[in-house]
Amino acid sequence: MFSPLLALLIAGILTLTHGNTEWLLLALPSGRRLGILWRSLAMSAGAAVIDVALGVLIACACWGWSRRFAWLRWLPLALIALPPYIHALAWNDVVQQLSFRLGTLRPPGELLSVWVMAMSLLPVGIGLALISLESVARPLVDAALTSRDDQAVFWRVALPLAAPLLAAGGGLIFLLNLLDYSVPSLFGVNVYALEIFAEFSSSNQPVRALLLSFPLLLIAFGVLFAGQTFLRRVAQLPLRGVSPWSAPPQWRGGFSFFQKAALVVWGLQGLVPLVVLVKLTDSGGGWLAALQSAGSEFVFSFSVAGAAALLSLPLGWLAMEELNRRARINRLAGWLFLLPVAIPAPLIGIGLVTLWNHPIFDRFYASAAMPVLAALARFAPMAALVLLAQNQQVDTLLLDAARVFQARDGQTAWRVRLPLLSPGLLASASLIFALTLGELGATLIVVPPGQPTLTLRIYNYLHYGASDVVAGLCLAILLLTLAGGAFSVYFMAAWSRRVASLEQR
Amino acid sequence: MTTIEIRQLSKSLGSVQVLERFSLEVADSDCVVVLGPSGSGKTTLLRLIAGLEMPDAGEILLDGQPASRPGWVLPPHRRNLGMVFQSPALWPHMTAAENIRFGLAHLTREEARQRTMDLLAGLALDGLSKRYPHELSGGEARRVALARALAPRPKLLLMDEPLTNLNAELILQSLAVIHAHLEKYRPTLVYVTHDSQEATAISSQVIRLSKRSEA
Repeated sequence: MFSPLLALLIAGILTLTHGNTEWLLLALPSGRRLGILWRSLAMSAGAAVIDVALGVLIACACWGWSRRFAWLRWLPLALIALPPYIHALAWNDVVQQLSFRLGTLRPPGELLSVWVMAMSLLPVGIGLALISLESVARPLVDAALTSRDDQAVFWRVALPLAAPLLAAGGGLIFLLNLLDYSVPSLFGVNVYALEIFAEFSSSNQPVRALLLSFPLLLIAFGVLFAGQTFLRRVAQLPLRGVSPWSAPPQWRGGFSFFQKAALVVWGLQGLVPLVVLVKLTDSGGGWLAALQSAGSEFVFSFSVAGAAALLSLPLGWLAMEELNRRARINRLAGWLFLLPVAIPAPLIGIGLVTLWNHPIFDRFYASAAMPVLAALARFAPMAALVLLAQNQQVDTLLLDAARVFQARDGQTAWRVRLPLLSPGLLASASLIFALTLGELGATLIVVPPGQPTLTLRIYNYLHYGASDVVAGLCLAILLLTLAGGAFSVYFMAAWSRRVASLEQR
Repeated sequence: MTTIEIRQLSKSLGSVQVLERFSLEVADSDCVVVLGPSGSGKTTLLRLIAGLEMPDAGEILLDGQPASRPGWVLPPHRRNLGMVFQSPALWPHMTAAENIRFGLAHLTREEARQRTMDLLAGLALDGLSKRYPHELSGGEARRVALARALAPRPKLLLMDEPLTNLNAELILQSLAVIHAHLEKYRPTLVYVTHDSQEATAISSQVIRLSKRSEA
């Protein structure tokens, strides 16, 4: 996971000791690049604020639902699997139609980018808001409800208690937006992550790209350092899916209105891509033709995503075991472990090129292993976080009991621990699969010649305007990922309900 | 069928000294009841005997052989013991019968099935063998946990308040099953409870633990 950055750092030290010290100026952006950096920060922060605010409102609205349907609030998590370029394609079409019909000017690319970035990570925002707010212990809310109404208790008790976790979640969304350029580039907006890619493309000097990345790395590492304690706490919370309110809360006036508006946005977030893609895919025949024309890309992309998902499990498991020994984990070790999440996507690709682009590794370098490595380098820490979350949900008494009763060595691991961790393994594999399927920033640099992934093909098409071929491909991805995501969420919700019912005894 | 020797055992959890220089000898096939209020170290004592915790000082010998000392414990599954935990701790992905059969891997499939069915019948759990833990009531889950501990016919039985939350009728029924098991298979039993009536119903050998203060 750390090899791309280490390779770049070593190359950087060697280059600078050979006298290219004037390159150091790249680490201090000024003029145009400083403007781009500010713009990137503002756009990423805007998208993060939108996601956290919508997430909180939607979480509050969901607590009013009947217990039978309460698990449905986890359903939007299935939409994590939807690659951002599909949102970009869909919302771009909506904006074009609206501008045409209303006769208004098209909004600036920056605004559109912020909205699409917010929409593509909204499931993360909702998930983190639910986890944060539902971590508030029910007795604390019950105690407050004896003297104040629901709304006052929410603002005075629940929200302040959840605030650190919400802030950490917002920080994660901010980072994910800041370090990727795929959405802004589709709307013709230059962001700092794209500058890194452009610098490498024009100079073919990995070290120049690394030096240019320094401001972004500093900011990202800082955000991660500030939020990592809370992110680890998020991963260690019991995800029981229980509202902190014993009875459905009664919201008043404006707050209730904003919740309803947030629910509408949530609905649009899922419906807009579906409706637009169906509309753009002019006929069933066209859709099939699109699928057939991209058959090899489908196979290649799904193979890469599948391999990354599978390989991330043992890696994530090992990291989880290490993180789980909490006594030995200090703040710095936790930060180091999460560090790859804060490395810009293009830099991961450039680091892998630096590491593997040597004659002796030719065959490996030109293989599908490179995009798999890129995905692992970017996303494996997330697999560990998901597994850590699942591990924290496992009652240690169940493992103690298995250790007492096991008749053979390894029986506890295979018959008890593995099944108890299975929801986490499924969630982890699904998440890594989805993220890898939509990965662009690093894949673009390391993908073997003549073997584009589906994302690359669609991304290239999008630059020439949407066509029914693109829409057909996107629709296929949408349906496949939605089906997979919905299955994962249903399985995990069912498991959580079962465990929760045992604990209420 | 197992002798237990506990010598000068000390254990602290965080800043709380739970057991301090605690010694105990339990003869072969004896039943000992450990009585004491919450926080007196009853559960910790059982976990130490089971090998689920490592002592800070002192040692535990089972059948005269070292089983636990600071820095080393014989793994629980090598101690030939059965244990009923304070909560049922049934594995949620296994049915009641599968939970009970977990420790019977050394038997043939038919023997394991028969033994499971006999225990379920004895504890008035007939017809529940295919139910998952979340489909059982609290009392049913407790009795399945008891059956799971008895099923392998271990030489040492450790029970941590196994009859909590059962109604009077089920307590009597479960006690009858425990007594029948003790009579037939003669295991050594360490039984933890905070209920003195329950204690006398199990055995006349009662050890009282008192609450420890912070270290």
